[in-house]
Amino acid sequence: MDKHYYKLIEDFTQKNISSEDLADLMLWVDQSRENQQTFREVVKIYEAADSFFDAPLKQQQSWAKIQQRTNNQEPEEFSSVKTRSFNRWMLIAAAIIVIFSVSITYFQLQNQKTKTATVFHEIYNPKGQKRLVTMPDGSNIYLNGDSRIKYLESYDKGKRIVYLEGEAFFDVQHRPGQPFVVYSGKVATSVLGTSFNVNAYKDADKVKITVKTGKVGVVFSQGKTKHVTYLLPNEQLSVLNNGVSIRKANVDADEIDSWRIYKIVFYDQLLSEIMRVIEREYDVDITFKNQALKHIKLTTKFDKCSVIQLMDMIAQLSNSKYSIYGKKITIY
Amino acid sequence: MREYILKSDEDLMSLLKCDDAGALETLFERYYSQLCKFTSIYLNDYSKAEELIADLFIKLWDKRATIDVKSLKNYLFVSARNTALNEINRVKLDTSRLDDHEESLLISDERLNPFELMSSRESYKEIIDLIHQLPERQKEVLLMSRLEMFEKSTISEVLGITIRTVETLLYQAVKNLRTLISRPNQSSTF
Repeated sequence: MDKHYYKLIEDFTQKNISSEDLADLMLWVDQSRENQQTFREVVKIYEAADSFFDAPLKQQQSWAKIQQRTNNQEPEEFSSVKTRSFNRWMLIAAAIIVIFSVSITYFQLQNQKTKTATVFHEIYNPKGQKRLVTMPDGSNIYLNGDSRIKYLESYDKGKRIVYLEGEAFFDVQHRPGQPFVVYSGKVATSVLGTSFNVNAYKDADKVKITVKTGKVGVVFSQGKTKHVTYLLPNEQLSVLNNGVSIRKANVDADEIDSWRIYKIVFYDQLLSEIMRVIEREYDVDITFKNQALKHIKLTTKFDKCSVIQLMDMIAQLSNSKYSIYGKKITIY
Repeated sequence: MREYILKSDEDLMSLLKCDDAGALETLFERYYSQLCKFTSIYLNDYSKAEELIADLFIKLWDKRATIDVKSLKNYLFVSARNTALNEINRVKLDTSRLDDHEESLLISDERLNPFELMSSRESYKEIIDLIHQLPERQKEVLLMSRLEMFEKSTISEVLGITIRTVETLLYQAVKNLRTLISRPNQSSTF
């Protein structure tokens, strides 16, 4: 087998494979059953090697032991002068003091530990609002309503990692060697520099990734195995939350981030899905009296419409009626 | 303490020379877990590894005034490796490992190919047992390559071999393991 692909599989398991290499590797894996087998086996070997390092460590105890030494700066000089005057009782007293100070430093250490624990920044954008977040590396994240991102304080050191719940459009600054990874449920989307949209609302049954420019690698886990798919502009990948099925489709990605400017575009979508978007967009609650309406599919566009204008249009297209009281909308 | 985290190893070394225990703590936080994992590659025993690494930091503190190294990171890992190898020579702790190995061969004889037992904890254990059967250099490189923030260049410096050799050893390790796993009975054909 080609040494080159061993190297790529290694990069893949280290999660620092470039988009180009990922494409190369995937093509190779798809070529034959033998390659697939090799891929699985090599990944398994690396996972086993990783598991070798899984054991928990007693870091605090070790530090306490070291600190005993750093606190007793000059042990030799001290003991040579005073040893003679120590009697049994003083030794016991000294021992108690040592134990006491060790437990105090241990306690202080634990306090410090909580302070230096990994710090997450979290940004939540409520229903009915849009928000632009500019990251420390200059990448822009446009957050849709009812969406949340989290990232580590050390975001721009090494791999740039963002956790997403909800929907966001990413415009990523290119940084060689520092892939940008979006985790949404079981799906990880990895790029070097590009723009793409991730829709991963918790109430939806799938995660949708749509690429506007550049290339994007999507990794998702099914049980313990990982799958990789590669997306080009105007391609959309849907991964069902049960992890069983995925679907790749061609879409018009020009409109995919139009929600940023309060344009709403529905492309062959179920009315039930459309209503969920409207709920978020206008912060309203929508209920269906006639369940059959949920399964109607519509394709339509709205540009900065009021909720009434929008509901009028949808009622007309789906041949339904609606009533609206305050924030409650009923469709029948 | 907080701003120490951003300081380089070299800056921390200078502070250490001025008896700054905070610098030692920062270095400890930075390298302790990695050094323990690294040492366990040789000892296959985590609590022993932790003990040795705690001693290593105590030694670093005691020798802080006279110590003069180009790269502290390399110094720490090279020292850890030497300590581990000395420890192996001191006590022959290989017996437990041989027992494990025998066990794994028995399982393999029942034609349980670890690859078939997808992702089970046990199959990882079997593969780890086989990793211990690899030639020492291949084992070292394979496991070290899985340590976080432990680049090929670091491996090459710690082991005193070229990066090319590191890559070749890694390739051989994985290749040999695949052979070992699918044909466990021909385990001694390298």
